[in-house]
Amino acid sequence: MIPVSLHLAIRQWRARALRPILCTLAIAAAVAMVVCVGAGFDSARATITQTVNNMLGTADIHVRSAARPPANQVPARLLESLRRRPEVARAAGRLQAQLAIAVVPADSSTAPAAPAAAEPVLKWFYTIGIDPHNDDHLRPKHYVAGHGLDGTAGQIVLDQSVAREVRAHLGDTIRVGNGQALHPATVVGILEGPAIELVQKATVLVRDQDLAQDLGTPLEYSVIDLELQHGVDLQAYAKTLQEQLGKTLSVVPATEGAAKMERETRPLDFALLILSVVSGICAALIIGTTLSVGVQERIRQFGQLRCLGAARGQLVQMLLADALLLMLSGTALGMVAGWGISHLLVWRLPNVFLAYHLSAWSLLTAAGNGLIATVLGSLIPAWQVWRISPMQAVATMGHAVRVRQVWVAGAVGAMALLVQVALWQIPQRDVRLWTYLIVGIPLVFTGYALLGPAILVVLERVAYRVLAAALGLRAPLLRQAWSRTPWRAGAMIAALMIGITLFTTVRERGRQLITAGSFQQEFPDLMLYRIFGTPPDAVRIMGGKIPEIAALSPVAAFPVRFRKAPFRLGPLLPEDSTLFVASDPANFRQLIKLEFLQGDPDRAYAQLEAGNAVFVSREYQAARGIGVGDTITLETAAGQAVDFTVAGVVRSPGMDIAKHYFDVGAAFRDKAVNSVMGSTADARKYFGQDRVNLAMANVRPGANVPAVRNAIERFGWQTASAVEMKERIALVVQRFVDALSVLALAAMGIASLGVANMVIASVYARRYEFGILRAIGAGRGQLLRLVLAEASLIALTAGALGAITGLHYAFMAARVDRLFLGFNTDFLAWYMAWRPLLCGVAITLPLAWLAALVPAWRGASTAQQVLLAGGRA
Amino acid sequence: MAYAVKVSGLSKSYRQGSREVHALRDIDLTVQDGEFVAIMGASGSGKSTLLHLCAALDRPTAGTIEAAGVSLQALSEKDLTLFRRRRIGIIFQSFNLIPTLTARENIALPALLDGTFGPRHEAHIEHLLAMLKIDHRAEHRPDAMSGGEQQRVAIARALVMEPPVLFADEPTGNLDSNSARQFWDLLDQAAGQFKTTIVMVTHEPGAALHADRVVVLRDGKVSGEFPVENVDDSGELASRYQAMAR
Repeated sequence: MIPVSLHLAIRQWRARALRPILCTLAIAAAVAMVVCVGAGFDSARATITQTVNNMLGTADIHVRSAARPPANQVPARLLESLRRRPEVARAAGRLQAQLAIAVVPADSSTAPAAPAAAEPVLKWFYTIGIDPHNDDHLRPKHYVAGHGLDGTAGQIVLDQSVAREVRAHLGDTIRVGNGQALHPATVVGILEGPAIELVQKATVLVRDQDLAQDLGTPLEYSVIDLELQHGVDLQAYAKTLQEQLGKTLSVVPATEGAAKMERETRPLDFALLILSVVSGICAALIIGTTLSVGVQERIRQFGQLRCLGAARGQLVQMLLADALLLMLSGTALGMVAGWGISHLLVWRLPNVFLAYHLSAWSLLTAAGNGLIATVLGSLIPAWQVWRISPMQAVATMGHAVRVRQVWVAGAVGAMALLVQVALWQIPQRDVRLWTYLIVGIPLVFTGYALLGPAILVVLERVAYRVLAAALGLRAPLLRQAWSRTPWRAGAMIAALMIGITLFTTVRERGRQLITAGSFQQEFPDLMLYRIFGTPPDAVRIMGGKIPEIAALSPVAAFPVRFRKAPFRLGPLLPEDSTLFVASDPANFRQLIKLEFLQGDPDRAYAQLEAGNAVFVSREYQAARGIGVGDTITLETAAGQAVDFTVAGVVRSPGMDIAKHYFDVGAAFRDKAVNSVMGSTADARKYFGQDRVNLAMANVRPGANVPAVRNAIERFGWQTASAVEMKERIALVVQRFVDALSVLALAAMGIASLGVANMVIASVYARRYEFGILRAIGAGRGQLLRLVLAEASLIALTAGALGAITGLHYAFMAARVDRLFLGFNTDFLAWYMAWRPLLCGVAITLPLAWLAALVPAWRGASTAQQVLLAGGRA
Repeated sequence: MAYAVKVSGLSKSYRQGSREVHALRDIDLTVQDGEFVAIMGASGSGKSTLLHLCAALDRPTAGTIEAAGVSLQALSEKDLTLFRRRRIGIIFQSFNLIPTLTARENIALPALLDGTFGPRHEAHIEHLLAMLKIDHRAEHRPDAMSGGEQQRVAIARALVMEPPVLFADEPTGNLDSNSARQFWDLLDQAAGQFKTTIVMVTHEPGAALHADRVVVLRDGKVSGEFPVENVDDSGELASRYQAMAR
């Protein structure tokens, strides 16, 4: 026999099915959203892992040179000696370089300095020279057409993106080479991908001997992959091998790559958690409102049960049984729906996801989301039920709402907003950042949400005449239409606010990033990049050959180590490495704008020119406590310590964005985005760095920029213009914004189910009032408009508050620099955006109307006798 | 003869806005075992308040109550719940049936809440359904039944735990005269069979005519009482009541 509490809950469901169904749908939507997001992240992670595995292969150990480029190659004879070791099952070497492929341009316009129009343009690609027999075992490849290299000279394999760019097909013969001399090569295979271009570069594969021949150097490798015999202790062998090979070579177990991968994808878990919290809060508010409405409606019935001898605990059990049914049905439905929708999404986006994956963690998060939302949503109704006395079975009057409590809640909300402002004044950057993230962000939402009921009451008093006029109603009908249930209305406002806040935040933040006014002024006309360095003089010679270039500044960017690392900085900054950006100070100053936070620009550049001085980013100043006049100690190529005086504390969003654009940090397998900036003379003197891989250029006024870029690319450089960077960043940001907007709209959809629920309850509670109104001559249309007016005010309040909260978050996000994007955005302009505010209201209002329409129509179209009889009962 | 309900020095006050309302003032009342007492009084005289206090729905401001052999003032909230569940039955004017349950389930509810529902209760419910002539409505929900049928379900629910005392608050207030007559016949039969003490609040002389004794309240105090056995009809009862109620 089932417990009486469950029995009553089931009967309640059967008697009034619509509301539990709506509530179930809300939970299901929240759970489905988390499943979809989880599946998206899991699939992305699986795709990244698969891509990285394709790149890193199944090798157990990677052997690289510990030296810096260009002397960072491993001799070929080492490969042979490693193969002879009994512990090694298989070994393969890879030579990484750039290779030029001749492409006939689609647009034949050329720069004046370029060769004749018919002559093909050289495009440079990341190329790997492999030993096909061993490499294919260690790094399995997926070909969409053709096959792998078979060891014959003159073969080439392209991945899909390279094939597209050079317009080559399987079986074509293309011309490849080092830029000076080209030779024919036959395309024997087209590789899949790359699926995620930010992770894997577009790739060309050729035989290792062919690549070495093209480079004009003896065969040597960038990395040697080892597969160990079964049973060999990987860590112990890696340690032994490292000792045997000495410090000039670096022996890295493949597990480190996996661990790094794990670290890199950890933010996805955090993002999943955030979105779970968002949808969970939304669902909890709706469950809470639905249950609370149920308690208020059945308060007399609960009182009767108390008269019959039901204990308080039994009433709470009944409520929890109700909640349990909601949770079980909603979660089950949401899991199935989420699984189906996410499958559909992954299936529809084959270019983004290589595989569908849904982890147990994501499923648990989704189920936990449903569970926690239900528990949270049940707390207040359970408390309400606990307090019901038997006298409420015979009481004839309900409790009047104490408006004073609404004002108190509003005051607490205002206080919360003041506290979050105070949190931003914390002097220590890290403490301020994390305190704000953990405490400040929830305080902002809580503050505005608590203001909701108070604003609703004020708006009701101020705006009921306007709304009545707008909807063609007599004003007294709308008096106190909302303040009778301010908390319930407040909960709905908060639920709607979540979606609109998320929507406004992401769209406004996206707009800030995309339309940043000073973006282009931070940049030179062109940024140039190449994977492997070239002497600075070669850059200058190139500049001399292209007369349209007005100014050119070569830049070297390479990782250096701190001699001492006394400061532990947590996850934001690497502890012991940084990127040394070396340039010719005078040229550099002409081309890129640096903002000096500390130090005099003229004096600082003079110090840089004199040597043993650096500029540091403001992150160093804030996080490491380093300022002008301080000294930092870096390790030279020979392992010696050398002191550099800090001549200026600067920020340069342009440089940061450029580094990210070209993925310079990743090229050095180092995430040292917080660079120090020094002179090329020091780079050469102390770090043996006599090659550059970045350059900046300004073109003369009126020059044909595409033609100049073509001319530069013939010298083996990739180029990007400020406009192009901006467009690419805008594209990435727009995709991100669109994805989050969909989630925000889903959250609003969930909340609208709650609004529908609330309107149903409101209509039900006011049956008698509606019956009387009908009896004294009110038309159905008037009743319909009356109910819609109620939904309108909730929507207006939620839309306005949600948009304000969203703008607040967007404003704060601009200040929480480097958190997600990795570069400064303080230069972005801030202004009071009316558009998102109106947009928030414009989205919420029809949504609320849509939610209210059916219950409003049902209420208005019910016969007056039924309304009067139902209301009396 | 033992008493079923004994009230001594009972007072109840509560606040209504800024005003202190004294609903009951120092009431003493004893109801004997098996007796049927009707409490009458004008609106606001405190008769319903007295019933609510005796049925442990509310707590008094002062005084003591003993009902069904239990002294209420010392009981915890949990014990008061058990008292309501096991020691008394209550019938309300508006029936107060659970709308989502059938007649049979409504009747079984106290036993279900007690966790003791079993074959004995099932047989007892069948007996009550038959005795109260609602066995053909056993699987119907309240909204499908007439007022009289609903009130008979309420009687059955009040008697299912075989309580020694039954409290009734204007039980025929929502019934037509035919249904009311049928109700009294069946209540007399059931109470007689189970030897139940009945304390009823009413303002209808016709209803009070079924009682053994009438207690009249005025302004929260007992203004008088009289036995019904010597009263010939409801008109006479009304005259005697009004004389005490003025």
